[in-house]
Amino acid sequence: MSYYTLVIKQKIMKKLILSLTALLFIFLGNAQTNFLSTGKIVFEKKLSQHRMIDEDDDNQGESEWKTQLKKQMPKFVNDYYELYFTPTKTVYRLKEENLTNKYLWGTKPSEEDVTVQDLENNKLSIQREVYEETFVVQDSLRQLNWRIYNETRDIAGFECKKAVAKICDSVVVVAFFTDQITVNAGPESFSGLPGMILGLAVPRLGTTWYATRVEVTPPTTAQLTPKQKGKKVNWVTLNASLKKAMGDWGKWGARRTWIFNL
Amino acid sequence: MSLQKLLAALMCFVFINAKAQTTTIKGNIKDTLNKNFLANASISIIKAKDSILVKHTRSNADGSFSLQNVPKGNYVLMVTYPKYADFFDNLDVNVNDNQPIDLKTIPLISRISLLQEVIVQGKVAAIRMKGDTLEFKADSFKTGPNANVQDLLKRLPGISVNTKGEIVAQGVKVEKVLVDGEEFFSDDPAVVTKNLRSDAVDKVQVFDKKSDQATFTGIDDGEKTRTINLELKQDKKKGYFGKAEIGHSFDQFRYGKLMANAFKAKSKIAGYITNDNTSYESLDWNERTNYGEDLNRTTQVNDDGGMSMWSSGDNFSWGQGFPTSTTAGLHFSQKWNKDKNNSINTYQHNNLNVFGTNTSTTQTLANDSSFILRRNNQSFNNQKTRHRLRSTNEWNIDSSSTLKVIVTGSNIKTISKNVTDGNTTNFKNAIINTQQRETNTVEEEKMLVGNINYRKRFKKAGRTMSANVDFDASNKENKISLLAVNSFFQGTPFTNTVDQFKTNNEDKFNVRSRISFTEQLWKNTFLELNYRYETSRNNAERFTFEKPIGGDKYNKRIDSLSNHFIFNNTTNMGGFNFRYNKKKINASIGAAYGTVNFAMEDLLTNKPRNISFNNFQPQANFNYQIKKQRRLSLSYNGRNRNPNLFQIQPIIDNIDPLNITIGNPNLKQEFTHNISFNFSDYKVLKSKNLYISSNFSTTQNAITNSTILDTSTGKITSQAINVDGNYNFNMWANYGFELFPSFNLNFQFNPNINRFINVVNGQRNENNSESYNFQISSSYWGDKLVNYWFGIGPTYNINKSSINPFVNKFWSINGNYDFEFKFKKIKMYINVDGEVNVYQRTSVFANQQNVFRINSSIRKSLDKAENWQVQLRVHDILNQNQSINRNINNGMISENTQQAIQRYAMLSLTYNFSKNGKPSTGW
Repeated sequence: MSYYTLVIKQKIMKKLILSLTALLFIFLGNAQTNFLSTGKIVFEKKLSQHRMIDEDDDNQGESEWKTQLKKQMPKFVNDYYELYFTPTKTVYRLKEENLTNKYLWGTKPSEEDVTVQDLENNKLSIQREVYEETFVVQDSLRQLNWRIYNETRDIAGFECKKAVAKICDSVVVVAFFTDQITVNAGPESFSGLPGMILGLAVPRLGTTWYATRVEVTPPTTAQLTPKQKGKKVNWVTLNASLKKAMGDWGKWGARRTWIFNL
Repeated sequence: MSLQKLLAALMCFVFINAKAQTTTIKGNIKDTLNKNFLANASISIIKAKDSILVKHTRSNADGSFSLQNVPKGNYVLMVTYPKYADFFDNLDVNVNDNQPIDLKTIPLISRISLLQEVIVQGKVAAIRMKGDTLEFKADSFKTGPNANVQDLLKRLPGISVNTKGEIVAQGVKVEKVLVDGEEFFSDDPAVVTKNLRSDAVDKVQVFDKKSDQATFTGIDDGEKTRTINLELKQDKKKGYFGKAEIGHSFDQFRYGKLMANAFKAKSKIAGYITNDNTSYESLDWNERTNYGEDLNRTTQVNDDGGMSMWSSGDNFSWGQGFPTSTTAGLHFSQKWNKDKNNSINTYQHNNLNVFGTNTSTTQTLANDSSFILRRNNQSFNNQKTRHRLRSTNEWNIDSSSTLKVIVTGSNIKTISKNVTDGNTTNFKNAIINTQQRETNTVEEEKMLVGNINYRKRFKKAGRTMSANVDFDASNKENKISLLAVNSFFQGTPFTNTVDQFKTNNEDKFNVRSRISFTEQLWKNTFLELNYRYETSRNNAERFTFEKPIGGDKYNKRIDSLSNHFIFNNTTNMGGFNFRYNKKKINASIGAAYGTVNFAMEDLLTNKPRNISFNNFQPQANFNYQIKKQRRLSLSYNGRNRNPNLFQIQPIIDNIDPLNITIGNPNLKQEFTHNISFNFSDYKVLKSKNLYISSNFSTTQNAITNSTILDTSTGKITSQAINVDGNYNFNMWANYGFELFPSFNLNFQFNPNINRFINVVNGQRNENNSESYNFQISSSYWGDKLVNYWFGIGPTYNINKSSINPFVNKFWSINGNYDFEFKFKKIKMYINVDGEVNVYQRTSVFANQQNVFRINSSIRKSLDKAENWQVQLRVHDILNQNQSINRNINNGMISENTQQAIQRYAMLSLTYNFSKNGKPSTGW
C-alpha cells in the first residue's frame, strides 16, 4: 500500500466522520420535533351499550325490556384496532375479536372489515360487513367541513388539537389530531385534517376511539396490502340500500345507518 | 355528444372557472429565536367566519410552503409546530389582482421560552382523599340557581377553569371529564347531558387515570391522565301514574280495575285491585309490568345479544269455564348503594271462582276392532284463594361477584265440588255401565320456595365459579268426601255404592343444589366441572273412612285404602364439559354420571323399599356462525328417565273404579337420545329471513303402558311397561320476506311425525301419527293508520293404530287475526280481532262445527291529553265461541267440550292519571 492511497483513505475517513457528525446534528435537531410518517397506532374503541339501549328506544322512558337488557349487557364494550400508516397509505382494521365481550344484537365487530385510505390518489376503500352483506365502499377520501378549535388534549403522548365535523347531515364527530404525525389520516374513514387523528368521538353513538400506543416500526407490505372482497358500492349507493332496509325502523334504523357511515 | 364528453366539458369549465377565482399563498416558517427554518410545520387556512378548515399543507425542508387554489375569502392562518406556540393571523384573500400572496417569513417561538411565567399551584385542599382519588362533595360548595358544572368546578379549591373552558386541577391540566364514568361531550347538541346543572352533581372526583391499555393489560405503562369524574346524584325524579277503569255489559258481565304507581328516586311503590267476570286474570302484560311484578315472567338473553321474554302464567291466569276473579297486588322496590343493591318485594292476592260444564266422549279401541265409548258430563264449581309474597334481593358485591336470593311464600285454599254423570256403551251401542260421582274437596297448601345464586369471576381470565341452591318446603292437606254409584249391566247386573271420606296430608321438602367451576385450559378451550346434589323427602299420609253399618259418622277406617309412606330421594351427579370457543365456532362436549336413590318406608306395614338407578347424561353441541346473522347449530343429548315408585308399586285408589292401575316390579329406566338441528339466516338489507328448527328423539326402553280393556264391564286396567321403538320428529321452518315496504309475508311449515307404542289386551299397538301444518302470516305494528297481524293455514292429520284397521285422515284450517285502525287526529281507535277454525267433516267427528270468532272494539279519547277514554267492545259478535278439544292417539279418540263465554257487548270508561311519569308501553 502506497503513501498516496493512505492519504486518500484518511481524507475519505475525515469526510465520512464529518458527514456522520452532521447527520448526528440533524438527528439531534429532529429529536426535539420527532415527526413521524410511518408506523402503527393502536386505537381503543369504547362503546357505551347502555346509552345505545336508551337511545334506540322510540318511546324514551322506562321499560321492562330496557331494564332487563341493561342488566344483562355490560355498560361498555372495548375493542382494539390497528392503524398502519405510511405517507401515502393507511390500513385500519380490528386487532382481534374479543371473545369475552357481550355485544348487543348485530353490533359485534368483524375481523374481516378493513379500511384503506389511499392518500396519494385520494381514494377510500372500505370492506365492511353490513348484516348479511359484505360491501366494498369505494369513493374519494371523505371531504368534511372540519371546524378547528383552539383546544388541546394529550393523547398517547402527543399534543392534539380538536376539530368537529358532521356526518349524515347532523351527527357530530369530534376529532383530536396531532401535527407531529405528518400523515393526514385517521381511524375509520376519517381524514382531511392537518395531521393524524388520534382521538375520535361520536357522542350520539356513545362511541370513542383513542390511540393508546404509537409505534414507529414501518408496516410490512403485507400489512399495507389487504385483500378486499365484496359488493362494490359508493357512499350514495350504500345509503340507498340502508334506507331501503331500515328506513321505517325509527330511531333504531337511523342509528344503525350512522354506524355504517363511520 | 356523448355523456362522457359532456361531463369532461363541464369539468373543464368548472376547472377554468375555479382557477380564475383562486390564488396561491406562499411563505417561510422560521424559528426566530434559533434562526433556523422549520420543516414539516403545519400551515392551515381556516374560514374566519365559522372556523372551518379550508386548506392545509406542510413546510418543506427549507421552511417554505405554498398553498394553491385558495378561493377568495376572509381567513385565519394557523401555523403549528410541535412544542412551539401556535401562530394565528388574519388573512384576507382578494383574488382580483390574480397575484400570488407572499407572506414572507412567519416566525414561530418555542414554547419553553413562553412558559417561563407559569406558576405551579401546589396547594392541597383539605378535602377527602379516597385512595388516589380526591373527592369533593358538591353540595358543600354553594353555587347559584341554574349554575352549570363549570361554575361548580370554579368554586372547588385547587381547580381553575380558564376562559377557553380548560380545567386545571392541582396545577395539572385535566385531559378528560367523565360523567358517571362516561366521557362527556358537549359538542353534539343532541346529547342530553349538554347543559348539566351543578345541582345534579353529587361528587366531583379528581384522579390520575392510568391509560385504558394499562387498565386492560394490567401492565402499568406509566402514562397517566388527569381526569375529573362527575358523579351524579341518584335520580331525583318523583311522581306517579295510574288508572281507573270500569266496564259493564248491562247484564251479567262487568269488570273494574284500579291501579297506581308512585316513584321517588330509586324507590317504587305500586298497587292494584281488579274484579272481573270475563277473564281469569284481568291484568295485561303492560299492567303487570307497571303496577307490580310478573311473578311468572322469564327473561333470556341469547348469544348474539338478542333477548326474549315470556310469561307462562299459572292456574290462576287461565282455565275453562265461567270465571269471577278478584286480584290485588302490592309492590315495593328499591335500589341503593349505587344500584349495587336491589330489592323487589311483591304481594299478590288472587281469588277465583269458576263454574262450568264439561262434556266428553272417549272411544277406547280394543285389539279386535271392538271398542267402548264413554260419555261423561261433569259440572264443577271451584273456589280458589291465593296469597303470595315474593322478595328478590340482588347484591353486586363487587365487579366480579353477585349474590341473588329469591324467597316466595304462598298459601292456596281450594274448595271444589265436582258432579259427574257418565255411562259406557260397547260397539253394539248397549250400555255396559253407568256412573254417578260427586266429590267435595277442601284443600289447603302452604309453600315456601327459595333460590340462592352466587356467581364469581376470578382474576384469571376464563375462571369462574357459580353455586345455585333451590329449595322448597310445602304442606298440603285435603279432605275429600266421595259419593259414587256404579252400575254394571253385563252379565249379572249389580250396583256398587261408595260413600267415603278421605284425608290426605303431605309434607314435602326438596333441595336441589349445583356447583360449577370453569377454567380456561388453553386459548379458546374451557373446562367446566359441575356437581349436582339433590335430596327430597315426602311424608304422605292418606286415610279413607266409611260409615260403620248403622252409623252416621265416617269413623271406620278402610285399611286397604289407607297408607302412610315416607319417600326419600337422593341424587348425586358429577359432570364435565369441554367448551371450545373460537370466532365462528362454538362447540362443547361432555357428560354427567351419578346415582339416583329412591327409598320408601311404609309406616303402616313397616315394609321398606329401596331402589337405585345409575344415570348417564352425555351431551355434545356444535354452533357455527357462517356469516353475520347466519348460523347453524347441531346438538345431541342423552337422558335417563327413571320409573317412579308408583309405577313399580302403585298406591291403591278408588276415586275412579273404572280405571285401575297395577304395578310392575320389573320396570327398567328408559333412555332418550335427542338430536336437534337449527339454522337461521336473517337478511336485514334484503328483508328476508329463513329459520329452520328441527328435533328428533328416540327412546330405548320407553316407559309406556299396557292396558286391559274389559269391553263387557268397561273397566280399564293399566300397568307401566317398557317398549322399544318410540320416536318423535318435529320441524318448524319459516321463510319470510318483504313484499313492499312495511308489508311482509311469512310462510311456515311445521310437520310432526311420531310413533308411540303401547300394549292393548296383550297385543302390541303401534300408533303412528303425522300432522303437516302450513301457515301464511303477515304483520305490521307501528305508528301508521292500519296496524295488523294475521296468520292462517291448513293442517293435515293422519292417525293410524295397528290394532285397528281404520286410518283417520282429516284437514283443518286455523287462523288468527288482529287489525287496528288508528285515527290519531280524532283520537279514535278501532280494533277487530278473532279466530277462524274450519274442519273437514269425518265419520269420527261427524258433528264438528266450524267456528268464526270476531271481537271488535271502538275506543275514543275524550280529552286532549287522552286521560279519559270510552270504549265499546263486542265480544264474539257471531256468538260462536266454544271450547272444543279433539284428540286421536294411542287407540283413543276423544272430544271434550267446555262451556265458554259467548256474545256480549261491554261499555267501559278509563281514566288515566299521572305526574312526572308515564306507564311503559310495548315492552
